Amino acid sequence: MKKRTIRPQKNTVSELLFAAFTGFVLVGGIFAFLKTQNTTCANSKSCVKNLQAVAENQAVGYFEGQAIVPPAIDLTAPLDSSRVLGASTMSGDKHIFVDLSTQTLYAYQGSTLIMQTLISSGKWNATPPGDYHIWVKLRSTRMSGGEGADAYDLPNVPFTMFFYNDKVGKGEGFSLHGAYWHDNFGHMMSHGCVNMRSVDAEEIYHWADPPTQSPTTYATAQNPGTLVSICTQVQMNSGDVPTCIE
Amino acid sequence: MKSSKYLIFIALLVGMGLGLAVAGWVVYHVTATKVVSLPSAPNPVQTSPSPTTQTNKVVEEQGISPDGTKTLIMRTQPATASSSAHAFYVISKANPTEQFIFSLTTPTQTPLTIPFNTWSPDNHYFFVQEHDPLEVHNFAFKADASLFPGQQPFLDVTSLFDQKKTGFQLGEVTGWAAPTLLIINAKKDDGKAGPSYWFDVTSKSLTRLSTTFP
Repeated sequence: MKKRTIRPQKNTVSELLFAAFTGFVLVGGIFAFLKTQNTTCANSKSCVKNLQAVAENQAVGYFEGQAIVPPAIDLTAPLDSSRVLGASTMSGDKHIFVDLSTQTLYAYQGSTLIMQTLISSGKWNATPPGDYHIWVKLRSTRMSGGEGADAYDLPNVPFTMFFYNDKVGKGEGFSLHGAYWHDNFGHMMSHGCVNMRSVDAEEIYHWADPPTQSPTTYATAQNPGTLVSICTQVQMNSGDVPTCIE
Repeated sequence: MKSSKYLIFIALLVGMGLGLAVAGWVVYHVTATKVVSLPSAPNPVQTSPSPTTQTNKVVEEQGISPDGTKTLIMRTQPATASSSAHAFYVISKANPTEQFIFSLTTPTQTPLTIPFNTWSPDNHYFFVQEHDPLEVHNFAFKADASLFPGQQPFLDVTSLFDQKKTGFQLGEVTGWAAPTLLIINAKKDDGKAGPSYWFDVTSKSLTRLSTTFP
């Protein structure tokens, strides 16, 4: 009997190519869908899960392989209005500028410089340039993320002001906040947020809109949040607000 | 028939594998390019209010802790025609009485300054800088005036770094990565940037880092 060699027929080859293409598209489609659901968060684990201020005074933090004792926070402490920058005299629109090239924050009310201080922006995940608005202020929250040696878990992050725009959504968790775990301001240190000395963050927190009503304060149409400009460079203009170069 | 179904299944898996590979490349590529390369920040200027007062030729400089609860005070006055005497004190909100930490005399041409990031995050240590024309010396102190092991009132971080024979020079100490870890940016002999290190003030150990903190 003659040995018969079976060769794949043309339509079988087509079927194989179609199957491979289908598999490729299937995976690509799932990947694309998942990407829209899980946008990059400044804090990859905590993201913005808890939108209420929380103080965990018995917890221990963890950063760069070091255990950190967070500051004790009393969420019931009354607001001291005398701490508000420029509360008694200032008028004009409030505007925060962050200069990524010099790691400097400038807070303006009208054309008056309210505060100038050093900050630490994103090193492990760049702080994205752009114009944002503060949408919620939390007196204290927990932030966690990173992996391996870069993992961090930080309770009682003080004076947190989350900001957003139409490109960087609220869920991505970028914020201005106090940082009690390092003191290297003037140099990039964070996972995307703008770290400040706690003493500076407290001043900005009480000054920035929406006006602080409670440990958790949301911006509303009546009380919109202060404009925050994250700039590649800030160009100073004598006697006027600076220019933000994105 | 059976073999063609088997081949189709294999083809489907191959296609999915290719899709996963491309997805992985996209994620890696995006992640790898996400860090924005910025020009090096200039040396930070003491921007927070640092009042200086001059009384009887005594110049005072202050450094506030990041949480605002403690203040380091350095008072400088002429000692001789060519030297200055510096005295360090700490006050806190809990105890406004000045606690004397240390005093030292330096040549007038090498002034001492309090850097912006002088305080450790837990307020247990601080460091100051002596500006020699050729290099900056960094000295770490305990904020409660207690002594380091070996009865040392302070650590000369620059000298201790040099003793480690890393092959690099200490470029700058920028601040604290953690309560006991100073960040050191080293430099090469030609002045170009070298690696970054942690210097642990409790053990005097040096840890080379895989990333730099310019």
